[in-house]
Amino acid sequence: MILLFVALAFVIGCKGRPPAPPPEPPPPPPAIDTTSQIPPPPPPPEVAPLQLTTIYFDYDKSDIRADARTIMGDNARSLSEHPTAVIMIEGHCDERGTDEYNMALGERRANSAKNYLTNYGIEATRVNTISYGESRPAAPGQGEDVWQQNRRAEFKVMSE
Amino acid sequence: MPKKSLICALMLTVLIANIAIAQKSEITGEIVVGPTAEAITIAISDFRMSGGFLTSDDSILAVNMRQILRDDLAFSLYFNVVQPDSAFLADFAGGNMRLDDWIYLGARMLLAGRFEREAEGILFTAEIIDTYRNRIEYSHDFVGEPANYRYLMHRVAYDILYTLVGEEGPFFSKIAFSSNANGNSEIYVCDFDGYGLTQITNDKSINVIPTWSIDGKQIYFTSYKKGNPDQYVYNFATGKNQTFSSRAGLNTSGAASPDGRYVVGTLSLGGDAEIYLFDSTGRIVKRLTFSKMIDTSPTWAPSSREIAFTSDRTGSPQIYITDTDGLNTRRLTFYGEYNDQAAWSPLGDFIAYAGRERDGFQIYIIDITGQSPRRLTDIGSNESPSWSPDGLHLVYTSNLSGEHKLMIMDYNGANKRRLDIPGVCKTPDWSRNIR
Repeated sequence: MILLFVALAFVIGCKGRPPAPPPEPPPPPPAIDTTSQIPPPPPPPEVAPLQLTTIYFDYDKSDIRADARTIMGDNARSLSEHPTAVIMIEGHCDERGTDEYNMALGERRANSAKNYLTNYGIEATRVNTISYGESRPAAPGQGEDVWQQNRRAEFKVMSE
Repeated sequence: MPKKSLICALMLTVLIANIAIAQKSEITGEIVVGPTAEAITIAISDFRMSGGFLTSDDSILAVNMRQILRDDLAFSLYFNVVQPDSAFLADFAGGNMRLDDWIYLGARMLLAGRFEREAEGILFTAEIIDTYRNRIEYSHDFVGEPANYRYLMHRVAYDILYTLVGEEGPFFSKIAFSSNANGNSEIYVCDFDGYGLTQITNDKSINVIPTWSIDGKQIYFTSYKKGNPDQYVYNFATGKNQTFSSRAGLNTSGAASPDGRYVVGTLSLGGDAEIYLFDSTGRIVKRLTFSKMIDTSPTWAPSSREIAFTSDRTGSPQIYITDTDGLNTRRLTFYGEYNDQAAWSPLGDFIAYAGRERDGFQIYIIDITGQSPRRLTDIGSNESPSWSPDGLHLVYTSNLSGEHKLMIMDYNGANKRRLDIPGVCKTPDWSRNIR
């Protein structure tokens, strides 16, 4: 039965028609197609989402402390692994000191952190700075523990 | 003229007193600042309704008006208002007041007020009698709206002070400051006595460091409403803000020159904070500081020829003075490790500032040669001094009550009192008298 059907089809196919030109060979598939046809490979080595760590400063100081230098090294490496990321560094102060001076001091802390990153090789255009002075404390209240938490530079990712 | 003879007598007393003070100060090097005339001892009788009994509303009004006038005259520091309130003795309107009673109380002058309600509002008559000479030295009528009786009394106080002493007082001045009463730092203004609180900004961002234009019709301030700390100017006539400077980095501390020609302010332009001179439209005229450190918080000398500011160029914040061409910069403060927020007295001779001691700040005044710093506060942390237009008072903030509140004190640290304003209040700036 199947044979019959095949034979019939063969007869019809040959009947009265010039042999069709051999079909053009399909264009060589683009390289990407070959990969898309095989099962997707495991995702490329995961680049962790960009996370940068806050650093802290001494009273009325804007230089990067020894403990903050390690953190800034990690921050700079993370940024170099995210070559398109753009960030904002926020400089903050504790409540001691006057409002205007602290706005300038917060700016200097943010710039100090920015300089560390640009010295590491991060493009300056990817690093923005802003000072909030003492107007956005991380911790409420008073005392050296609180003040230390508030003397800081925070890193906000604007785009990855 | 009797008024003249009175003033002559007063001036003689003042002259003698001043000579005594000057001699004393030469010997001790003590700071001399304060009223330029001896205080006049004055009593104030109960205010009365002309030709009739007071309704209860009117008697409340009479008491309130008298209290305001009393507070104003005492606040001027040119009047010593006599206690106790033995006003029942005076039946001024009835004409049978016994002056001897007032003299007995120590009153050199007696102020009597009477008022009536007219179509145009309140007609208020103030009369001052010289108790020694039994002679009316001052008599003047004022008309004002009943709802605005505080302002009416400020006008009376101004006129009395100006007529008897020749001084203008601070009665038409206002104070601008920031408060977080509504959750965010917004700009507010109030009258010199803390009344008449008015909110100026309401954008729920961060609004800080307001300063007055010389005519009192505008306020410069810094706002984060577009993200960056930019300098704006608020216009009272239009109720609108205009951008003054929105350069990269900090745009803060705008302060108008007393001659009205320039504004001085702080820019960081992405680097460190430096002081610049602007024209009134925000165009840079000149850069005044060139240290690689922080330079900020400029304040004008009344001559408009010099500026005092804060710099940490030697490692810690200190106050410096520079000419407005950026030359002749010299350090003013040497006592203490952290001195900031200079405020140049409108009288010219003194600069108030905040100096850090341990964990808090205290208010000092120092003469402009850098001699004799004198501390005016001693408890809590006290910051941001700003002078009244008469140069006899300072507004500042103090955290005595737990959070920073506005306080006012006399030039010598006396009569400290808190203004009853909600929220954490910061960086007050006292205007000139606003007409």
